[in-house]
Amino acid sequence: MKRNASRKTGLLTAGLAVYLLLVLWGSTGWFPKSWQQVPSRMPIYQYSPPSREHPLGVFFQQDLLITFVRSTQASFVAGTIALLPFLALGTLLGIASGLPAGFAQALANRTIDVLNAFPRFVVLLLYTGLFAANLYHMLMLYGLISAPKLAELLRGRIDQLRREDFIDSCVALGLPWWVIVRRHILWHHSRHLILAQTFAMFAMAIFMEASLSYLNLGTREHYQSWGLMLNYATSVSGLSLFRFPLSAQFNLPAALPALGLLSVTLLLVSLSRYWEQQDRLKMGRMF
Amino acid sequence: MDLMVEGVSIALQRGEELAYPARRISFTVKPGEFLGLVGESGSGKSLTMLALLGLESCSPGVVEGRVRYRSEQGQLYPLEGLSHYVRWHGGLPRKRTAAWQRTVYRRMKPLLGRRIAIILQDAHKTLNPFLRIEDQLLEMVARQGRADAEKAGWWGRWRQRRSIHQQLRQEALRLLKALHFRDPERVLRAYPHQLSGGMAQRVSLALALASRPEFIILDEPTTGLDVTLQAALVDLIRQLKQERRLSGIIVSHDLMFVGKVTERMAIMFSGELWEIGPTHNVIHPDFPWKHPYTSYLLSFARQKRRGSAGPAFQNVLWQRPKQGCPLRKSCPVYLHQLDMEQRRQCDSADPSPVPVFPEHYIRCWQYAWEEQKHAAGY
Amino acid sequence: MQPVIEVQNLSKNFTIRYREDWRVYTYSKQAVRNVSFSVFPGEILAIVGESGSGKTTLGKMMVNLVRPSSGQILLNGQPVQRLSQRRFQPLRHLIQMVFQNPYASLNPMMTVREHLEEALRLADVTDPHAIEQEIQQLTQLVKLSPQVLTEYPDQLSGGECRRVNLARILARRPRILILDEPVASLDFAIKQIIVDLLLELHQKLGLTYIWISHDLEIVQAVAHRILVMFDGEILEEIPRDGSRRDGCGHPYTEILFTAAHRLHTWEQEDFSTLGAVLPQPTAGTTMASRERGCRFRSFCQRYRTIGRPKLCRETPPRFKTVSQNHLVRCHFPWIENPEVTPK
Ligand SMILES: Nc1ncnc2c1ncn2[C@@H]1O[C@H](COP(=O)(O)OP(=O)(O)OP(=O)(O)O)[C@@H](O)[C@H]1O
Ligand code: SF4
Ligand SMILES: [Mg+2]
Repeated sequence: MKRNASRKTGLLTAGLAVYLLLVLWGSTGWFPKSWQQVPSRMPIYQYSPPSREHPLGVFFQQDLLITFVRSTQASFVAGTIALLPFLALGTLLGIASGLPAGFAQALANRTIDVLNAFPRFVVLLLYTGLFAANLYHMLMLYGLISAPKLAELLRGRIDQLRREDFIDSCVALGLPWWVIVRRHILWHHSRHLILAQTFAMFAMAIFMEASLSYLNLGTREHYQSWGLMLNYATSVSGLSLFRFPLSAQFNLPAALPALGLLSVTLLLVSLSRYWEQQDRLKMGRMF
Repeated sequence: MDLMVEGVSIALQRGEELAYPARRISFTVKPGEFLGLVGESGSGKSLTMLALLGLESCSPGVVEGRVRYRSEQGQLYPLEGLSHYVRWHGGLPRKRTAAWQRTVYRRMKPLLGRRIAIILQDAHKTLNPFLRIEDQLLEMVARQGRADAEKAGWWGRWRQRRSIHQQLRQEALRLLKALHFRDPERVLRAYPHQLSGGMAQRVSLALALASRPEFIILDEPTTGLDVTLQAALVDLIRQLKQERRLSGIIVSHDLMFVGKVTERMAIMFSGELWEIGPTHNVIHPDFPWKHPYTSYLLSFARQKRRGSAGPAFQNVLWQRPKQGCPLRKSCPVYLHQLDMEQRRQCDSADPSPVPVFPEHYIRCWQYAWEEQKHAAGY
Repeated sequence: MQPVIEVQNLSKNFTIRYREDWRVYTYSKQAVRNVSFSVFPGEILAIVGESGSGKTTLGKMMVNLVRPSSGQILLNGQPVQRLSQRRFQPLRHLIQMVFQNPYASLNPMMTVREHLEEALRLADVTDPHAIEQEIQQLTQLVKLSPQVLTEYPDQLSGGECRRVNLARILARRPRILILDEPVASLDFAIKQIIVDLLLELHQKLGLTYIWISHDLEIVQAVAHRILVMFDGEILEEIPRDGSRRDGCGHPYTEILFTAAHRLHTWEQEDFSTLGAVLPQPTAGTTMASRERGCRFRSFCQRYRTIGRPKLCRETPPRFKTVSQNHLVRCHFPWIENPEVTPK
């Protein structure tokens, strides 16, 4: 039992460490000189296989490893950027809609309804169409309009907890209401929920970023991302990721983002599972 | 109707290993009779009851012995959770929770909520906080008349929906009145959090009685009730016993209350039964044969308030001695009345039940010796 | 002596709304009716009464969890019934309440230590070292073993859970405690221990208790004064010593004493005779229709035996002082045939 748990944590920390290292590396922007020097005579639409100077080969006149590291960092940035407005607005709306009936509660509820009624992707497309917007702005907008998901879950939780005696006893003890909401309701009874939503949002943001880049939407300069990598990779004729029967020609530029996405998702899933397990252990309800 | 429990042991998952909080429990409950299960808190009373019904979640439950329930029609239901499995395979199933739960649940399914009703200790937890009392109670009341409703067909039921609903409501109101609610209409319309502690207790009682069970298990029914309602409950149970030949088990620490409604009483401590017999004998202060622990309990009840009744018995539920009588470390008889020879006997072996009266068994070496003397012709 | 709490004509109406056939109906229930009493410093005031008679509601109104419909609550002479939660905050260190259900009043996801720390931080103990010391002191005060501190509420036994609740509340150093059924659902031995602990705290810290209970025996042993409640009204105020020695009492109190006495005998008592004594509404009458006269009369044995006098039917009874400090709300407070005399 115990060993099992530690092995899971070991894998988890290793995965997290690798991901964060890649992100850090990408944000420092330092790469060996030899990687950055690309033979300029190479045709654009050709993938040159790995060599001593370029560990993963060269593609689109760039070292593939550099591209990969940069796009990993981009995925992290995209996730975080979408996450912050999502969490802020979601919690705010959730708490407001859990209040006793009144103006604030009605306002929050209607906001949730309105946000729910818009098709999200279409809103993003409209936004680019209208403002020719930056990719980061679009991700932020995406976080904002997904907020009702979190808010609705929180509302249910608060509705359920408001009838509990321990909330009454906290009020009688003299705790101010924001402490009760923050500590007793949000932290102790909704943290799994918020965590799960956080992960879902992170993953969705990466997906969003990849799809938007694939569609070539949003303006950016010197930008690398998994979506772009895929976009370029598919534009190379004669190479595809899954060819049947498997041939020797393997599309590394497409495989890398696929792998990256897969590993990030797995990482998030196992992280949430680990938390869940920790909490259950804490409550003494392992079985 | 009647429940037969023979030599049951109960296992619980405690961290890595299994623990056996209740052992060698045997009793029978006859039709129209109530059994009182009395003991201090922490002696494993509620746990035993829950495990007998397979409700102790995520733990193996009954792993030894037989539990059988005979319904009104004379049908026998074997309930023994896993002891069947253990007998066959010589051990517990490898796969944990899911398999255990499934086995036990399959056996309990036809009984719980139809023939057997159980009232748990915490009334507010048994009620669904998001439904009105009406919705919860009518559903249970509707269970008893299922057969007629089936015959009417869906079209008939749809046409008569109003009158059916009215009938159910009347039935529910009658039930609530029997439990001495002043304004049953308002109670039906209330949500559980709008009821006081004692009212919630009575509502959960009503829920259990609504499906007209044959057998009922009450876990600490008197906690939230004031004295007049306790007296009323005594009356109600007696009436149900006479009218419907209802039988059941009352788990409580209130000796006096249990003494008023039960025919037989079992004294439990540290997960074992020490005495079982007719209630009158067990609780009457002048009855000569008593287990030391029973006398200890009785002295508490007799003293009513001030002062303590001698040193407390030590609960050995989780650390029992390897051999000998598990209670001897704190038993006043062992400590002050027995001579060396007799003590050695207590140290060496666990006492087995000795009949001291028809249907009255005590597990104590004192009476075993008397029995031996008797048999030898003294 | 100046009373610490003075309650004047306090009432509470609860309304329950429900919808049927597209119309909205309301039920209104007066949980507390026109209650007045005062509590003096250092006193143990007991409130007994039947289930659903508004004892808990009364206690919750005093700690500002339920807003009274009308009436006044004076805490140290200051009216508090209309204060918002924020305005009431400075008074919270004065008056605290222990709730009826000990498990439900603790957060199931927090350890005992976290509960205590939270309460201590409210009492302006912020230094971690001081918090540690205070926790030590509190656990000693309520005789809690230190290993309990790391446990979660559902791992505690009934007695421990009560102590944790007490410790959490004592961290705020209150002067007045409202104890809502502090010993219900505990078994005999632990009940005794908790009662002793409460009395010891009362002595040591000079607290004032409002002890809500339905256990007449314990209440008689500990309380200085007993208020008897029935359907939201106070029917009788019994002083500790001369309790009923004057041969007077309210019929409802008599019922309570009879039932308690009969429940606590060895004999297989026959309760069918008690059935008449139990508060059962006679057919067709409900409490709500009783606007004139004594509201208790449909349950009143005495009313029937003395031939349904007009006085009971027409005029609601006022409190009568039958002996020193003994008030009874009844026109005929004399006990005819005392079956039991307590003590
Ligand atoms: N939030 C609420 N909404 C509506 N009615 C309520 C509410 N809280 C309590 N009541 C009603 O008020 C009455 C008094 O309830 P209260 O909890 O004060 O009783 P109690 O004296 O504490 O009884 P017990 O001894 O059973 O705990 C009950 O009839 C109850 O149904
Ligand atoms: S006033 Fe009359 S009806 Fe009311 S309690 Fe007294 S005797 Fe009974
Ligand atoms: Mg109450």
